[in-house]
Amino acid sequence: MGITLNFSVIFTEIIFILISSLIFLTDKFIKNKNYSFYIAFITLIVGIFLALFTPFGNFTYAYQNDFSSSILKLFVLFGAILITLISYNYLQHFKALNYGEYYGLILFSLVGSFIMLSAMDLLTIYLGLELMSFPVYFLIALNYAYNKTSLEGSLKYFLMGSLGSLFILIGLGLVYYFIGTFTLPEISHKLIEESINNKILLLAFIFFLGGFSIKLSFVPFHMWAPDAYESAPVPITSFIASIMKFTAMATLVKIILIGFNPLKVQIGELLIPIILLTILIGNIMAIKQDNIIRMLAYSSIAHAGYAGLGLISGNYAGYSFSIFYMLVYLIMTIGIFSVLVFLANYKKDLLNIPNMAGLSKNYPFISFLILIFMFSLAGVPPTAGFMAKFYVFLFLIKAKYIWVALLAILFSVIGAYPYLRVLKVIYMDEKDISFEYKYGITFLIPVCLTAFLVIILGVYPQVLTNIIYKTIYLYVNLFFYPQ
Amino acid sequence: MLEKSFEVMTNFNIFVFLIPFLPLVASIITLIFGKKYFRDKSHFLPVLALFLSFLLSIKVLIDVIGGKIYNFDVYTWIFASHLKVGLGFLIDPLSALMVAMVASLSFLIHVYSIGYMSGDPGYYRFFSYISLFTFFMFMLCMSNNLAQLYLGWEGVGLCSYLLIGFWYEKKSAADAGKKAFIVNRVGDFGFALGIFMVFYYLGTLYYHEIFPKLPEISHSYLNILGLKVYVPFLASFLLFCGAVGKSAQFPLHVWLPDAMEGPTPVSALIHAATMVTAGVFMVCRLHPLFELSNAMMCIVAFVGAFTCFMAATIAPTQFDIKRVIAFSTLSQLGYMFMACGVGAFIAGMFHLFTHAYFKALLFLGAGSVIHALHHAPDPNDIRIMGGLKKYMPVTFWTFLIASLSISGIPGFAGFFSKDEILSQAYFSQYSWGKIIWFIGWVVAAMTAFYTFRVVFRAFYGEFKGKDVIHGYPHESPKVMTIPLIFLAIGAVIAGWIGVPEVLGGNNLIEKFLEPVLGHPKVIHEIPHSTEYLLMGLSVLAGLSGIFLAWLVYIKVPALETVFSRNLKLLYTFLYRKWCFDELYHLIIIRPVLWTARCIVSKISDNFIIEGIVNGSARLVNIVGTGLRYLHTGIVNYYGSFVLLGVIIYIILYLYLK
Repeated sequence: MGITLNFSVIFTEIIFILISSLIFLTDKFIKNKNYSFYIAFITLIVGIFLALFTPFGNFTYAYQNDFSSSILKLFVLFGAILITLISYNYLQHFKALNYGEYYGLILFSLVGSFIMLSAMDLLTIYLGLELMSFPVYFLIALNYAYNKTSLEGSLKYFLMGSLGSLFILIGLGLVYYFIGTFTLPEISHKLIEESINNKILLLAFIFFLGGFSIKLSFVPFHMWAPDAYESAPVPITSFIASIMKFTAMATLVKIILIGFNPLKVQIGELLIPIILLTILIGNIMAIKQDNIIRMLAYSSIAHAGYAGLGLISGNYAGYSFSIFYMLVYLIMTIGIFSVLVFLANYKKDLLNIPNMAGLSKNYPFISFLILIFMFSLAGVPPTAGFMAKFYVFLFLIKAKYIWVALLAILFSVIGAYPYLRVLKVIYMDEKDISFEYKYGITFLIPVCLTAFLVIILGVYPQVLTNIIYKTIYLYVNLFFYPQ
Repeated sequence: MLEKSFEVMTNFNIFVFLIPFLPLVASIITLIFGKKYFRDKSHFLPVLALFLSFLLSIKVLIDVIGGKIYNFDVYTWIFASHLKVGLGFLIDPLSALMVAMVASLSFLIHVYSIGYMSGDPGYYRFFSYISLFTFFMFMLCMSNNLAQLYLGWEGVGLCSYLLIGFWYEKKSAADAGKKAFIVNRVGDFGFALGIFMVFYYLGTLYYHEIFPKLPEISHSYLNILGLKVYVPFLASFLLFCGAVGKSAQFPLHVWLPDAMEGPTPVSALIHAATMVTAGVFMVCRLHPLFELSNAMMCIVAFVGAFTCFMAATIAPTQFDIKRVIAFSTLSQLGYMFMACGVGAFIAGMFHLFTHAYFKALLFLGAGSVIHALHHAPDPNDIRIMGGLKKYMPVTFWTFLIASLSISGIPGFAGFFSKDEILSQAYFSQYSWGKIIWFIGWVVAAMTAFYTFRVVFRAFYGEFKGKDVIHGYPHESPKVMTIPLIFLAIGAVIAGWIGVPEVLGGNNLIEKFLEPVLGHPKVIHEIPHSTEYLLMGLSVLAGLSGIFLAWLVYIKVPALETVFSRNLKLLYTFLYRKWCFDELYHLIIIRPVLWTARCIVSKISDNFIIEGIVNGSARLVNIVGTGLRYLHTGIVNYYGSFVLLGVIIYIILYLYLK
């Protein structure tokens, strides 16, 4: 295989690295700390154009820019833009965080995410994963100025992350030992040719899966999540919950579909107990939480489980609806966290659910937004959350895993409780709350956009589901398994 | 059949699409901005939207007359193998007629409401709800599949609930809203089951796919507890449950009289002209399914006939002007179902069409009277009225036209449609046709009697309410009387589209609807002499009813109390509306409440449910505490759990084949 060094393919990543380095270098010398927000924001906007117009092709055999990765990158960039906006909004009130590093680290993490989405071999995926995670450890620890436990959360996350890296590396070693290659298409070719190794390769994949389970916070790999979520700055929590999980899920789908395609049915069966446990424990633990961020941390665990149901079904539609689920979750999470940022800015103790009582009386708009997002998280039609769940369950049933679907639906009934409880407190309990506030543009854009999308995707999901489904289907069929 | 004589348009058509969506947009905008910004100008957008919808509906109707049919999907909401749920429109003669009727009436009633509702604190709310209602009604009529029909069905139910309870500060209004909602729930439950059943057996929800597939189930039976049940019978029976609830037929009719608590325009639009006829529309729409089962047709006919008769006996005993008209609505709806039950779907739809105009006119006329008397403690009471002819000439003349129309006086709309039903019942192929005809004939006389009872008591004689309203009533503003005049024109000419052939007409409506509803199920050779005789009899019935009313209420007022004095028991029975409210109270509400209080609350709620809830809460608590015990915050444990997870994977791996 000839190695091509086609730098135009990795142009986006180069730009992002240069800009974030620039932010790091100049931050010390510029007084107005908001400048780095503008730079980061412009970079992200430019990033969208870059993602749209970067030529498709390979950079060595390890990195491939194609329509699938471009589309996934667009989704990530969309999320990142919204998160940058709410970060700006947040940092205006939490000045001790307002340094260039904050945005620089986000950009670095995004580079990691892009690398994961484009990577074509396991080692590059591993590198991307580390590059995506490391800046986030720092970002969590940044919050030390306001929350002394953030160091602890960050360290725990780091330790768990390194444990995950350990497993991924073991898996890598095993794959290389048995097959002698890292690149995904070759693994899959070898699997088709020499079917004797399949069982052993599945073992190697298990270690890989272990690493990813930590990032996706499947139970019982989830212990770090509530600590990290709670101790991070609020926008960063949404970053961990949305973009990092979305990337991890999309990459896992890619690994399974391209690298371990012949094993996908066995992988699905392997995942069943863990996924069900994830949904169950995530939902049960969410019930007990009083802190809304901790509650959302457990809900995020459960949602990763729902998305994982698509992996069980073991067909293209199931995989693409896993990605669709994660995308919808990304939108919902960013939406609800934007509202939480607003609350945290003006009255921090509102982040405790019992303190929210009577919010609807003086703040109908905020309460209505919470209502939309909570309904969506609980999966009430006509919101995007319902559609996402519906499709995942549908393809699970089509794949003849009816009992899994039934259990998952049953667990999701439990899962409705924590969200409805929030609404009950907001709308039915009587208490007077008042605080000064003003709606900034950096608040209105993310919430209105996400709320709009949540409703639209609930009523008219076809466009997006078609894009994702056709992308995955064509991608796999055209490039890797031409018939 | 449709495809032969019509050109089917399957492309998206913006005009068709806009008919329902203009009122929706107007409703949403009015609801959001009405309270703060539009206030007393809230009517502007809904009226404009309805006017445009009305023009569009006329355009679409002309298209359909010109031989076009629209059948297109706007988009698909859920697509899962053969379950397809989406938004789609079917405009064929049936729905085009219905849409034109709904749009014209809704527009006129919107205009009327400007006057009737002026000054009400909920002005914007009223207009928002009523145009939302119109949206759902359009969705119901225009849908091309059962799921969307159901959406419209539930939507109009919701709006009806909101509007009945519009003055929710009044307890009786709030209760009436709840009653309507709950009673409809019973019917809708059956309706939903019917839709499920159609889907289960035919695998589709789209009309144009259902009808060709019907022969597949025409010989299928279902075994329920050893009973062999004919599948089309069960499916149509369940669907008919919905129709019974929505169209207020026996035994679910109890909500409609109470629904008169709502504002009068609402009664006119929702509880007389449009929503309550949705059941008839649905039966007509699905008539091939109903026709498969003779037993079902019989049930439809006799439910209609019974309601028709029962309501006609109650109406003369009531004193609330709106309730009298409400019972007359029940009775006329009964006529429509009778028509459906003898296979005369066209006659049923024709009566639906004419009834919409003269009944809306009756209600609006009553509303005009109520508006004039609104200072009285109970403005609806006909005992305080009298002599209004002098004070409210426009209201009187229009009310009189509507009354003549409903009484079946030749030349007015009601005559043609009622006569069509009666003659087709008489000549029906179904064996119960003659009985139906007889009931319908008797009720025709009663209808004329109780309608003219209202006319004579309210508009003739001396005004009796001087003391309660401190003065004399005066005519309503132009914005209310002009719609009355338009409706009066409708109440006369609406019938001229169906002049039967024996009278030298060419029965346009039959030719128009025949491609959809099929030829009436009548015997082949109809002797003209019998037809003339029947017509004469029904005119005679109407005239004798009017004469009797004149005799009792004008000529010899002493006769008025003869009946109530001498047959006290029967009178009370009728006055209490055949004691259905009391009966339901006794056999349903009391036992349900008793069960709720004694069994459900004590045993199941306190013991089982609370046990489960508390138990599961306790379980969750224990699990949570247990998990929390594991969740110590000590990172070593976290690591162990990660390891545990990997071990789970590996164990599964070992067991995997």
